[in-house]
Amino acid sequence: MSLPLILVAVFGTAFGAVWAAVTPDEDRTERNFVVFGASLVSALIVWWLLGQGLYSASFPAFELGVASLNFKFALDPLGLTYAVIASTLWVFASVYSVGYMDQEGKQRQFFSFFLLSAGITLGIAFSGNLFTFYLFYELLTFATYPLVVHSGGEDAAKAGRKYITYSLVGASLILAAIVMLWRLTGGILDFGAISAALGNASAGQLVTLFFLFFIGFGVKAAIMPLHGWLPAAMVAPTPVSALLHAVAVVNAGVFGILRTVYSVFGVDVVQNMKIRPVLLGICALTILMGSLIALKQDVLKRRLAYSTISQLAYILLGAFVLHPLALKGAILHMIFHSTLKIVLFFSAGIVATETGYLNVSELRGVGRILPLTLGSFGLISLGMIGMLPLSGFWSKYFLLQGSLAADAWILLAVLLLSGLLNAFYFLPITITAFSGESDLQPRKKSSSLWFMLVPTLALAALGLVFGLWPGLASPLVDAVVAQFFSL
Amino acid sequence: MPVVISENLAVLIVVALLSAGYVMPLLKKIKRFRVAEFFAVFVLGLALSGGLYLAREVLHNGAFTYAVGGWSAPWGIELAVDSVSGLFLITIGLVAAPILLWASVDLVREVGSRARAAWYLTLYLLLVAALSGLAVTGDLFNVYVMVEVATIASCAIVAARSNAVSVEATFKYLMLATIGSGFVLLGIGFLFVLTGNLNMNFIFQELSTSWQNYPTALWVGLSFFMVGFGVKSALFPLHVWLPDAHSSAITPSSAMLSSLAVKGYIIALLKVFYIAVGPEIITNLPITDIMTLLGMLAIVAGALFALAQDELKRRLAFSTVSQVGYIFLGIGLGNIHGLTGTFMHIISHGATKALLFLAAGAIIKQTGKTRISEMAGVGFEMPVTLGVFAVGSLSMIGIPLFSGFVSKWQLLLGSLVNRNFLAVIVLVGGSLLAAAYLLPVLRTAFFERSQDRTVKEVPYVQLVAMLFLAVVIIMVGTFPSFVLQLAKQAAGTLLGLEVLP
Repeated sequence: MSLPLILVAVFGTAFGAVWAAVTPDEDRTERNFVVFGASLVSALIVWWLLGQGLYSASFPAFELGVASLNFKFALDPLGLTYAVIASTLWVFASVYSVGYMDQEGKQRQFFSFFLLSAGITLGIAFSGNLFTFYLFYELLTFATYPLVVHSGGEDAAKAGRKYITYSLVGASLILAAIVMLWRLTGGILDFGAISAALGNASAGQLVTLFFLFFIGFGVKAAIMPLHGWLPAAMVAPTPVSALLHAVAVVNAGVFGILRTVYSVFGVDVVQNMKIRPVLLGICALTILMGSLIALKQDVLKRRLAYSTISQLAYILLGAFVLHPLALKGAILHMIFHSTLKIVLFFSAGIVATETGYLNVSELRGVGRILPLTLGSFGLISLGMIGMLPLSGFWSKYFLLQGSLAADAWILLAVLLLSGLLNAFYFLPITITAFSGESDLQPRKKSSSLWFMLVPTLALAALGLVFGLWPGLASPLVDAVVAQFFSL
Repeated sequence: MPVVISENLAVLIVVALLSAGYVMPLLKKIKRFRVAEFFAVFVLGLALSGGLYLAREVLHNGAFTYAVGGWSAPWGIELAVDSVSGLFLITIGLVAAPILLWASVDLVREVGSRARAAWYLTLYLLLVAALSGLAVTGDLFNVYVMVEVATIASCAIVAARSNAVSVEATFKYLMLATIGSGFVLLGIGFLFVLTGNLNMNFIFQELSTSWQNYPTALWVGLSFFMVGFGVKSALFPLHVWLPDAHSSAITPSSAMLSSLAVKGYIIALLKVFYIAVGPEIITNLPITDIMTLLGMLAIVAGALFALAQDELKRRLAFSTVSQVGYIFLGIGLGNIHGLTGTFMHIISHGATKALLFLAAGAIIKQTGKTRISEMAGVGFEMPVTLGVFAVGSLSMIGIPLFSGFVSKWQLLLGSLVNRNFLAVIVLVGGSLLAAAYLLPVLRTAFFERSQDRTVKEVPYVQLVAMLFLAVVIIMVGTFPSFVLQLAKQAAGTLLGLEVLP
């Protein structure tokens, strides 16, 4: 039963993409319904699979015998986590996009690739072996490129070139690593089965392989110094920045690294490689540098992009500590950061469409004009800093716990310092927005405002709910931890 | 299939193509010339089905030899039908038929007159016959004959449109190709003097016992083959004739030459090196190292040259130089994976480059624009053409689900088996460079807007031809088992290994 459902989730959205592409420009309503419907269906499927998996505690794997290609889908808690995050937020983003894109051109192109990326993201989440993973990972680059360059013009072209160059270089490193792994394991690429087959690989080979994967996936996870494409890609329309550059694409990189550490090599092998200090150092550096650079950005979306770079490194940091509590923190942060950051982007997009302001310094008094938007922004930025009662607190809490349990004291300092820096670059935005008078002429709010506002408010409320009842996420997160650590 | 045909199929494919070629000039008087063109396509289709039949036969029952006229070797002509032949015959059929179908739409207008068009068809079929001959031949004499026929025919189809540029390109091509033939002939002479035979199997047996007596002479002879076939298959740095010839010729000629003609000489080279001389001797001589080195150089240099071109067809021509490098790299690696990669790349690049040239020709024909920088927004006016161009580009870059990935994977494996990490870097870098020179075309076509909206899509016959090639690329990429098995067996044949089905 689950395999057909996965196929529907992955390829149904592709079908929706084709539908959206052939719908004439005049039939906007039809296309909007297709986009929303396809996202909703795939999200419902993912939730149903989640329910099934959690209740029965068994996650079936399926092999699709496409000749010698060895195409395999599998369900596991880690993949489901990524799938749940992406597909749920996709539904909200599709409503938001309908509002945001109302006045924009080239809607057909936008919505087709928007849906196509959704299916490909789920393909990444449900991949059962490295080959399938690589296939969807590579396709994601090509499906999201048109979204990045959507606005047209020289800036967009440049950003697109940067994006595709970074991504393709990263993907080729991954391909080289996969071929090497194939040689070492004698053709075994299934997640979970690889580490047992790595028995006779030398330490040097393992470290080389690990770093090939790490750098390859690190491009999409925007690890410094591989992050250059992310701030540049902010020229994309806001729903794209929100969904792809805070959720789907960047988390695909993070998810790839999680897979590498936990499903390909396994905790023990990584532990024995003795490269943990290097990995943690890179993450700590990315966290601090990202926050410091974010401080200096005046363009709101760029500030958010650097914040994303910094926050993604939190997740990786938690993953590299190799401790159950830290992994719990990492997975929680993956969930919470996505739901929080998308609200910030959504708010920034509303501000841009309603007032035309893109810079933090222009925001004076805008809070009076858009109280709900800036209100959610202010609330959620507290979560990014890691304050109660927002969900961001809990993921940081577990990350700190994990660092302590693994005797990594220095990480404690890094996390606390970064929290402080977050406060420095997020709080002034809200304070500026709600102080003083805006010299903006009052004007009618656009009719599509509610399409954008409702998802924003709903997700902001979600951040609050998770903050008050963090236990809501724990069945899934605990399942992920139990998958990789035998407790 | 009647027994008479199936038993003599190996020779019948070549004979049918040859005789159809000579019939063409007689057909110029018929009322509708399209009939003649479709007849030629039909014959190519027959050749394809014959090739598929032979390939299946070889895959199930193993290789066999065929004595032409019942005279057995060494007195008669012997054809050796093995998986190498099967694979190349399939490639020829899959690629040559759609190219000619594409050409049939406005061949007469392209070359000037009906009479010229009829002769063009003759030359085209002769070229295909010669390539098929190279696929099945079992002796060096026929290698030489077929190489010469192929050379003359390909020179002539470059000159089909007799303007100054293509005549100049043809002259350059003719000169270099003739020098190449000379080298091949000298090489054949050396092998003949050393062994007293022209039949490849006999040469192999003779050499395996006696080659240590005159290694230098053998080495010199093989170098002659290397240079001769290297010139003809545009191995860097012997590629100088190719960009001019392939970019100035009419589109079907460019597609044919880039995708098939250069491969024919590579098949001949493989046969001489691995079947006549044998893998043991080849790996003892530094020839494979030279091929690896030149292959890697070709991949990088060809791609860099391609990047510098703004004219679409020239960019594709230089891309061929780069892709031929992949094929030679696989030969140089000399292990089962490398050679499988070589064969996979022969079929994959054959279909891909033909598709790209046809799509480029379609764009140039409909818009009159030859430069990439002028092609803004073409994607919206010719969605199918640019769609298949995208398929070709992705295959060339080596994205999974497209045929190029299968060959790249095998070549990467081959490099790893030899612990040649430089080759891994070059292969990976080469596909990045391919992305760099092909994706801008798509970007310009799809993400820039143009003012004029008058351009129409090409006629549907040409669309069908291009879609056919796109489907071939995707099928080979998604369901590679049959072709991959054939390629593995072909590699096994060359290395003298048994490859289990």
